[in-house]
Amino acid sequence: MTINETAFFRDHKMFEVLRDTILPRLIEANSSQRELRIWSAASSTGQETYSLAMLLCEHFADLADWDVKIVGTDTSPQVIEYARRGRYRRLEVNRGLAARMLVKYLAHDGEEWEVAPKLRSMCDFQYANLCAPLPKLPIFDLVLLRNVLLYFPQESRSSVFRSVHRQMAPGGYLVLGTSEQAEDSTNLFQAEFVRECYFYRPAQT
Amino acid sequence: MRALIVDDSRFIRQHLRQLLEQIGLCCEEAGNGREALQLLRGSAPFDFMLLDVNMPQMGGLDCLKAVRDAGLHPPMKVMMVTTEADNSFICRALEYGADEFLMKPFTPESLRVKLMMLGLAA
Repeated sequence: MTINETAFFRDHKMFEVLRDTILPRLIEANSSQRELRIWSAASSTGQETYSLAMLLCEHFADLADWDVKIVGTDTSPQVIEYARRGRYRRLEVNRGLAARMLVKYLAHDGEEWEVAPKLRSMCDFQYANLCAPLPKLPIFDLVLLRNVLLYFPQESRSSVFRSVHRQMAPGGYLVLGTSEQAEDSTNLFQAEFVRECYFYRPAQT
Repeated sequence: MRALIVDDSRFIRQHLRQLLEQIGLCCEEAGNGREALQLLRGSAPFDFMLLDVNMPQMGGLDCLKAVRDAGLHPPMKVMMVTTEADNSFICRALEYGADEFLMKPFTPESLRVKLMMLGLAA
């Protein structure tokens, strides 16, 4: 079963913390290799992935000549295709997307709005089942795994955490949904509380 | 916090009032831009105005421009609520001083999230 509940900038507070604290840290840490890899691990129809791209374009102009890739993965071929199209309807752009961002990053075309080519070139959507061996993916500096664990039984959650941990850079950050915790994998991650949001960093082994 | 709902449809005003009051805002209503200006000129400060666009006597854009030009209730956030959807129209509303934009039809959740973005809801 998959639940395709998503929205642009869902949980604004978390995106503010990413903008103000987490991304500046990652950018400083990666400044020599000038690479940034972000994973939207349950990307559904793509709004989270494109929100991340908008956040980077809007607030981190220095990244223009970096190698930046945001990978969105999902288990549903239909929603992956939807995300790749990058076209959204009125009810979707109404949900959480500031008007200034809408007019700057999406073009109005008939009954839909299309994500700008610049953002689309930063995003890559592919199939991945978090409960099965993962396809070839990069090592990520930032992973968003939000509002998906609650649908998995405890055993599967532990397995997902192990898979995600393997895909993360040592200094990376994992973000879960506001009501989710990595309490059953505390040996893999260390929690860090930043401005009312929990972030998880791979534990040193 | 005080909100002014400006729409020529009584039904829509009632609906918006219900949604805003659930969030904790105290609401007053106006049926068009002219009524809204009269209210704004003679009342205690408003924190927020929900403004329709196509209304008789004075539409939302003219009202918005008049409010901003006259410096009425300067910290007041203004959100346009309209069926208009062209990016060029949204840009014009933002240039005139709108803080946010919500397209009809919308869900209560969309309205609540936009209010959160404006710092008007928790």
